[in-house]
Amino acid sequence: MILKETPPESVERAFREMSGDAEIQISIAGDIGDDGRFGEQWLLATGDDIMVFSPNGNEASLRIKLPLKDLIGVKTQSLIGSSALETTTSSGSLVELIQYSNVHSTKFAAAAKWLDQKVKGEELSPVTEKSPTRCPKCGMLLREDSKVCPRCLQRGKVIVRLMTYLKPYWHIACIVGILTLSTIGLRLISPQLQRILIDEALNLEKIRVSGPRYDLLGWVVLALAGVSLVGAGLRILMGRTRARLGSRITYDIRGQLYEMVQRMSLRFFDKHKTGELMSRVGRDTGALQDLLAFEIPFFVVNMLMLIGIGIMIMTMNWKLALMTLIPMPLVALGTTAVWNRIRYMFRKVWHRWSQLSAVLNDTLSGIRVVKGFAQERREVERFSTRSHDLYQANMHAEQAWATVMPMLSFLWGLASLIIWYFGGRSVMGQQMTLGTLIAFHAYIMMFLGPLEMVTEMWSWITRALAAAERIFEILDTEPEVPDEAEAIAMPELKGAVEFQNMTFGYDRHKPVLHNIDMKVEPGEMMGFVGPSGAGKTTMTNLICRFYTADEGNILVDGIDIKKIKLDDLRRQIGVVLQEPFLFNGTVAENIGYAKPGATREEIMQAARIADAHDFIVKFPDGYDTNVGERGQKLSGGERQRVSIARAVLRDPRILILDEATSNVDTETEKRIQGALARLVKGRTTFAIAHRLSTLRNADRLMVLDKGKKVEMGTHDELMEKKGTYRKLVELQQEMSKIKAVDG
Amino acid sequence: MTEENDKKSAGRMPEPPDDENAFKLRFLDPAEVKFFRAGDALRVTIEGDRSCLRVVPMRSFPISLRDQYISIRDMEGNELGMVRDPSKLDKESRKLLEEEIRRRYFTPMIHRINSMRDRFGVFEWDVETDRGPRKFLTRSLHDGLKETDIGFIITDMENNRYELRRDSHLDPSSAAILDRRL
Repeated sequence: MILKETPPESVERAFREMSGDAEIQISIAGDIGDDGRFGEQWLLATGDDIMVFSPNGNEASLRIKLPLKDLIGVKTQSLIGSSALETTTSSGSLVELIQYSNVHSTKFAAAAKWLDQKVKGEELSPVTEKSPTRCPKCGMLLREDSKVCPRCLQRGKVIVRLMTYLKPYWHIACIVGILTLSTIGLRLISPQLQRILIDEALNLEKIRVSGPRYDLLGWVVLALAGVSLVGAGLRILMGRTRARLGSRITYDIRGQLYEMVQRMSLRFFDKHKTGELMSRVGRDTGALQDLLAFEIPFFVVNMLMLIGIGIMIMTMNWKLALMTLIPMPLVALGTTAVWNRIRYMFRKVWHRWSQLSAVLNDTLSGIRVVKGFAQERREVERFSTRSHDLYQANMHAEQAWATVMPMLSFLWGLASLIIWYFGGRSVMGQQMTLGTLIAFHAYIMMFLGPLEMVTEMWSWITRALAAAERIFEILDTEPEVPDEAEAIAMPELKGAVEFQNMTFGYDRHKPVLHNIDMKVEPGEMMGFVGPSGAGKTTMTNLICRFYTADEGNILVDGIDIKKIKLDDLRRQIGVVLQEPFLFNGTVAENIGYAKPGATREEIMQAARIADAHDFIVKFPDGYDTNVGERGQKLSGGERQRVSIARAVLRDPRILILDEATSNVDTETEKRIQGALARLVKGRTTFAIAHRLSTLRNADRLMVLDKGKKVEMGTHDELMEKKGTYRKLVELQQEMSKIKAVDG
Repeated sequence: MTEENDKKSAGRMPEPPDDENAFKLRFLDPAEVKFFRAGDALRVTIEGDRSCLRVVPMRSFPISLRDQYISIRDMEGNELGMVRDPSKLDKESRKLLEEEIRRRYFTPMIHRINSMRDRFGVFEWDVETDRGPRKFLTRSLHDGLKETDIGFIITDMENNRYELRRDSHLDPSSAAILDRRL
């Protein structure tokens, strides 16, 4: 992150007048003026002062100057559609330094952190590099999940890289190449045969002189038949080989991509939405396949065709060739322009389609609500408005299409007219034979197709290459929590966990946990308590090493968690989540997921401990009962016990329970509690619960609030202390009284 | 809900039960509310109740009824009360409140579209707004667009917002550009 941008001369001058040759520490521009309109303002900071300048032509006026020693804090404030950098002075008043649109939020957040540490006299942490949201070369905004700038994309490089995937199949690629060249050659032969047919076999003058030559006619027609037959054969062969090659390479890349995605850390999945990733694995690889199997070969074939035909017609009659070709670029350009227009119209249709289907999706999936509130009439109206919009856009697009297409074919037909007229004159003047003219015409007709395509092809290819590059981007991403080379194998953990002054944020400049210290002995049960958003789940995520600490350390058995072999660590951690996730499969498969190769007896024993065995066996299909997608065929309490059984089977040293008993009736809760008590025994356990009663077995409790550790101790100690915990307990007792009355 | 309750609520605003006054909306009496500036912070005094050193005004209906029902909240996000209609406040308070709202809700209004272009899968807008000219990108044409009664609220890829009205605020050639796309 660069916090030193070069200010305009006027600002530089104004600054120098003010501060002499003091060293500039921060110099960044915001894009909202103090009048609330878009306009530049500059924030400059030296080791002693913060200044804000408004450039105004050649002059820059100083708007704010504050000595750092008079400040007690600097932070950013998120507004709606913009943000502001604010500071509090030692007299307690608040000063807004500069407002900026969210384009600049990253650099201002970094500046705020630096300034805040400076005025508080804290140690300055290094300004961290964050992945750029704009292309460093051209300034184009990048898709939020990708560093690929489509404008600066080096097409050549991507193609070269794609070619490396060809390597294992080079012999197939060679065959495709040879086949391609042969088909092109064959297609170029036909018009020549036609020429011979007309000039030699069907030439009336020659027939008059030496009689009809049936043998020649026969041979030529036979040759024509041969050419088209062989051509068809070659095309079949080529298509099949090409399909095989393209599919195979995409298969390789898709596999590699999926493997990579599985290895990514959770932080990666926070940044990339599920839909995004599905589209990358699915759609982008699909685009890649099209590119490899169709677009690139198609492009190459057409280019070669163009060249081949060009040579042919130039040698046949270069004057006529030039005459026909000169208007072509104009026609091609015109076509492209018209195409662009029409494309927008169809996109508009598509846009309205999606609006219409949004309405459909909305009301059909919410049909109970619609009927419940008797709103059918209104929904019909809403639909018909959208439908009408769609009908209009559709009509306009189709009409334009119907108008433009015949006009275009007329334009392309002009080439033909030129040939007939000028070529015809040459034939009359005996400078050219009729056969040559016919062959010439055939070549030109063959020429138009590829020409029309080539203009379109280029944009298709660019788009597909961008897809390829996005795929490579994932393939090139370093997994965020890689096993360090000298990772320590720890097949048997004891289960001691320690946090040392640990700070962490999902977004690095917004910590959600601040300076947490905690030491948990093997076998101890630690409960996390606090309002939602306090950071309880984040604590457990860090223990699983789904994320790594930004500052401070996390130790397991006295060893930095980052140095422990990830496999070993995860194998010995078990998680029971609030919303247990079950895969679509049988109960046995779901329990067995925790321990590949577990025997049926082990699975049943685990289920017994989790108090799940009885209800499972009572199912008509017993352990072979299919749980449905996400386990929806089971009740909440049943799902929970299956997931506990899973944890039991895993037999972890460290156990994480995230609110395991919400939304179940009292009887089921009792059963789950019992199952959990059996599970917890002898394991280091971290438990999260909103209902404090569920934590009564905990040895110690940590109270968290807004990412900070507020209190820690046993239940009795904390009650004694009369702090936050006691308040929470009392509040919940009140609530349960109300519930009791309600119930 | 019991039958009795059902009858009561028909055609009327649902009344919370008396013992749950804590859940009743509080509307501030314009005569008793005064806004001040302290530094760049907006400060409020509610007569007979309390002062708050820094408050944040939030629109309850930022799109459909932007000038009314302003929720006044402290920095922890607790609502002190609602201002039904800022125009009923005294002149100075009204000015300060509206200034703060304008600062907080940075939503330039687009009155001219110079061009809308598809650039490699993202959509580039080049516009003139009431706060100056601007270029921004949305993910696709319709992704960032939220339709309102009078036009659209556009959210760009960096969460900046723009307002686009399909009425007299938009000049005719821009309306034509827009119409070609939407």
